Amino acid sequence: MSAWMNEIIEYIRRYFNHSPLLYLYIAALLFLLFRGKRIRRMVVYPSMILTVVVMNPICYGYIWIRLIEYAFWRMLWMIPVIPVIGCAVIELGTILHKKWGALVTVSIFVVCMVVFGTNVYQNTTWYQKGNNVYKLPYASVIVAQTILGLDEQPVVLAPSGLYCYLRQYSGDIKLLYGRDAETYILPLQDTDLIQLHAMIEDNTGTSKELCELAKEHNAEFIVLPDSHTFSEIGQYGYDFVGWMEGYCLYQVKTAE
Amino acid sequence: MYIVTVGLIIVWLVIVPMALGYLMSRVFEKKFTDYCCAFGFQYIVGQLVMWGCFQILAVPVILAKGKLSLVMILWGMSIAAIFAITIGLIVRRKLPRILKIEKYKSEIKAKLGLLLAVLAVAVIVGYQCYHYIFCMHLDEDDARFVVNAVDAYERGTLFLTNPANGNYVGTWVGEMVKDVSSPWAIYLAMISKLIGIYPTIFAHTVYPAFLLVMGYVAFYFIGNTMFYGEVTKSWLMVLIAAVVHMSFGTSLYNQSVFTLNRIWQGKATVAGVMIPFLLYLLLQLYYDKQDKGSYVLLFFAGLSMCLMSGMGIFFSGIMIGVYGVWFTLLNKRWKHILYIAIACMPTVVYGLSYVLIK
Repeated sequence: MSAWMNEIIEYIRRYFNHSPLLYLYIAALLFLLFRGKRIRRMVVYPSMILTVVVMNPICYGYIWIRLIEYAFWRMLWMIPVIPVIGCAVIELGTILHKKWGALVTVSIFVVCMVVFGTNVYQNTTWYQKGNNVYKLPYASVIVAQTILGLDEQPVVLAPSGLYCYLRQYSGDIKLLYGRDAETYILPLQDTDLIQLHAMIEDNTGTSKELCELAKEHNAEFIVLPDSHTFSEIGQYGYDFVGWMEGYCLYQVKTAE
Repeated sequence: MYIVTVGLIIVWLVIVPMALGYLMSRVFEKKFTDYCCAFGFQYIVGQLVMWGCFQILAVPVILAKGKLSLVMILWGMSIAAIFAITIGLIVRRKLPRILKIEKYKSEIKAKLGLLLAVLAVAVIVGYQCYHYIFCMHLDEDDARFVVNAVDAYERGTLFLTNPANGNYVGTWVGEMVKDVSSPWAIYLAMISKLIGIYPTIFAHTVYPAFLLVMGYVAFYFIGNTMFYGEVTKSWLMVLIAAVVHMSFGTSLYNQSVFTLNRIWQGKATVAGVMIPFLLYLLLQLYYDKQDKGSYVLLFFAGLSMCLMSGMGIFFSGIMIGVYGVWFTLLNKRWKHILYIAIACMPTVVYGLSYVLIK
């Protein structure tokens, strides 16, 4: 039981990760306890009951982790942190018994959140300027367009920088592997494909091995990052098509 | 071409849900405290009906390995039937033309305060919508979610293709087993077909702004419920929600980051839209109105959450169970336990389906 409790605490720690919102939520609940029977019964008590239901170690150990497995932290979404804090901040304003009371408290709260909070949009790994209407990496759009211009239903061997995005551009593109190489969706079982994935990601093996494996699995196109070390791919059955946005594209030689 | 696309977006994302919601509101003789409430409620209720009908129809078709076209036909027929039935009820019962707007303490005395709150919300929410429309967040989970929609859109098959490589498998494998009971990707594919826009574009560029605004409308309702219909305080609740969402960037796991980063994914729609709206519906139970319409909405909200995500299947049951039982005990309306149980039926049915198919 204490192990389960420690896991729950770790989930809570990761969920809030030093945000002041956890303390604000607790303070809001305590404040609202004294704001009248209606608020207690409508907001405070059910929030506390839900929190206990979600976070108690018995439910966690016997029910939640069997249902939700790896993503128990999503259950914390049910805890009404924002509505409770919002209710408390606005209620605080009513203490002043002025029409503008709530406006003042909310304004102070907003300023504090802006100053002490962490702006989601400042994380440049999360957001980039969109440069196409698909909202995909520009390289994946260019590579996909080029490939589809050469073959209507291509089979492609692509690196990890592209394989999550090519099929979002067009379902006509088939891949030798995609995110299944990272054990998502349906983990890859074929040892040849696992080897191909390792070769491309780690730049290991020879060009001959790469091309032979690719041809065995009917790959009509090979896409490699600019930084790849597979030389003279043209000797092993694939013609160089072009460079595009950090990637090299090769197409299988057609028999004359 | 763009004009046709924009027109179809307005039809399927605005007119149809608004019309459905308007008719449902009249049938249940819903009263509102202000026009924001009225229009916002109608819009979300219309969406709930669209989502709920889709969930009821799509899962059996998926289990039968049917095609997207069959789902679309059945769904279209069900929506048309709902229109016909509700219009028939309104005409027969001679329900009043105009929705009642009841003013509680919503006489807008502090107009400057209201104006400031509305402006602040418009700026912040507008900024967040701008990010969704003109910026991009790359998420590798879309290699499954969006690609499932793409495969359904292009081939008509429902979770029978491996999204990782595009090979037809003929059955549900790996993580797609979870998606059978929660076919949000198929809903995206269907609406994309109706609008004539590629699912990737619809999911990443068009739909997120609508979903985000819906989430904030839900917070408006929460504020409206907590503060006796006071308009300014309702807008202040929305402002607080918007600012907290934007300032909660300390971790990848929280509701706010999912709402602002990837609301097109079913689990994020649950976090950003459905949990707040479900909370609003549940808070309404406190007022102990003899209002069966509320329980009908709870049922559709549960169905919608089941559509969006496997998490949603269980979250709806947990929230309805906790709040429903609490308010029933408080008001001593023991008959309402039956209504709560019915509202939890989607969790039971789709939960069993989720567990058995796994």
